[in-house]
This record gives sequence, structure tokens and C-alpha cells, in this order.
Amino acid sequence: MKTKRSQEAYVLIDHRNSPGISLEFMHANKLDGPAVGAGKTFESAMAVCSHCGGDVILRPDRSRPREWCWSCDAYICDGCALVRKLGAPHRPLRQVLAEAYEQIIRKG
Amino acid sequence: MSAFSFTVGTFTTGAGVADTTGFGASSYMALQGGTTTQMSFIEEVYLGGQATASAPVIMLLAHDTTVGATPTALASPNSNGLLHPSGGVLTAPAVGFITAGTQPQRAATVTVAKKNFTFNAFGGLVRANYSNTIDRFGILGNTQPLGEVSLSAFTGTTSAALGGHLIYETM
Repeated sequence: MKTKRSQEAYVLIDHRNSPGISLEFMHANKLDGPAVGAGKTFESAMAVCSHCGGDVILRPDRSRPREWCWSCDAYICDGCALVRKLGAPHRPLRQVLAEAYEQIIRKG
Repeated sequence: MSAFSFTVGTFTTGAGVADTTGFGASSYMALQGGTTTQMSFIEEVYLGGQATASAPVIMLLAHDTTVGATPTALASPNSNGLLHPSGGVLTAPAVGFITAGTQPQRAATVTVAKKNFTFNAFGGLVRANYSNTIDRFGILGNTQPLGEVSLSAFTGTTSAALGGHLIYETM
């Protein structure tokens, strides 16, 4: 049986020799990723949202519970969790791909 | 199943474009499926900054809703090939390109994921590895909406030179 940790992705943003990215730049461009400043390095585990395929950065300092889909048995991002709470049908990424593949095969 | 690496030595991002806008020639990396039924998954994304002054770049890995038509063959030092010499050779591998007769356009679909790699191209680098994950970024077929992915600059980017690679596995 695989552990959650065995399916993690990894991200590194290295600004040790760079002016880096400011929080102001992130806010001005409506970005929600990590703002890694001058001389800093950001290294983290990530999960991939099983509903949309987006990255879920597993920040150790997060205090809210992380969203989990019991049907997929996998992490999902906050956006997909909101959509789920609003009542959207369960349609994970692997199902989307499987349906698209089926459609392609049927088209011949 | 074999892993391939699509590598571009240097490309210049330009100031970035909004979704559903044609990319500038040689300002992006795009990977298009080799056949109508081929499936590939992105294993790793690496971008290294080569700018000579501070240049924040907003690089998006996304599917394209207009796929590149008549892609121009890669020229050295760019490459797209098997990572391991004994990997399985495909008759129609995925096509890596940085310019095409008709340039690709990034999807604007809000229900399809994009991956954002924002960093400073003056001395910065970003690397993301998805090898262990199940729901990796996939390429299915070779037509829109899932048949092509691109790594391109979004609006707000300061034009900069970058080098990078996409490691992917074709099923």
C-alpha cells in the first residue's frame, strides 16, 4: 500500500543569486504561488489535485485543514474543494482523460 | 513507456501574452502529441534564468486550445529525445517545437489546470518534479483541447532569456 508521501511532487525555486520576486509583484499580477525573495530558496513537497491537475503546495505552516477527496483518496486543491461544496458532480482528472480517450478511439 | 527530454538551450520569453493569444515565434516551448491517440505525461519542468538584469517572469504550463500548425523542426542546441539510450524508440514521438507556421494559443478554460512558475530570470531557477504523482499533466492525442501543452510567458512578464527542459513519459 502506497503512503501519501510516496506520491508527492517536489518544487524548488532558487533565488540565492537573484533579486527574487517581491510580494508586491505577486499581488499586482494576482498570483498565489510562493513569493521567493532575494537570496532565498523555496523547496517544498507538492501534491497534484486529483480533480483539476493543479499543484497543491504542502506548506508545513498551513493551519487550515487540507482538502481531501475520499472518493479519489487523494488531495484536491482549495478551488476544487469549493466547487465540490457547491454541489458539482465528482469528476476526477483521470475520468476526464479516460472519457476523452474513449471519444478519440470511437472517432477512429 | 519511455522517458523523453525536450530541452531548449535559450529562448526569449517576450513580455508575455494573455490566454487565447498567439505566442511570439521562439518565445515558448510546446509539446504536441505524436499521434491522435498517444498519451504522454509531464514528469519534470525546469527553467533556468539567463537574464542580465532583474526580470520577473510568469511562466505557465498549460494546454493549448489552438495547437501549433506546421511546427518548425528543432535546431541545435535544442533537442527532443529519449533520456536513456536503451529506451523504447517510438515511430511517432511527441513533437517539441518553439515556433510554428501557426503559433499555438494557451487555453482560457478555467476548469483545466495550469501550472504557474514565477521566478526571477536574473540568476533564478525553478524545478518541479512530478514523477511520483498519479495525476500528472497529460497530453492526449494531438489536437485541442488536450493534445498539446506549452510553457509560455503570461502578461506581466519582463522579457528575459531562459533555458529549460520538459521531461515527459509517453505511454
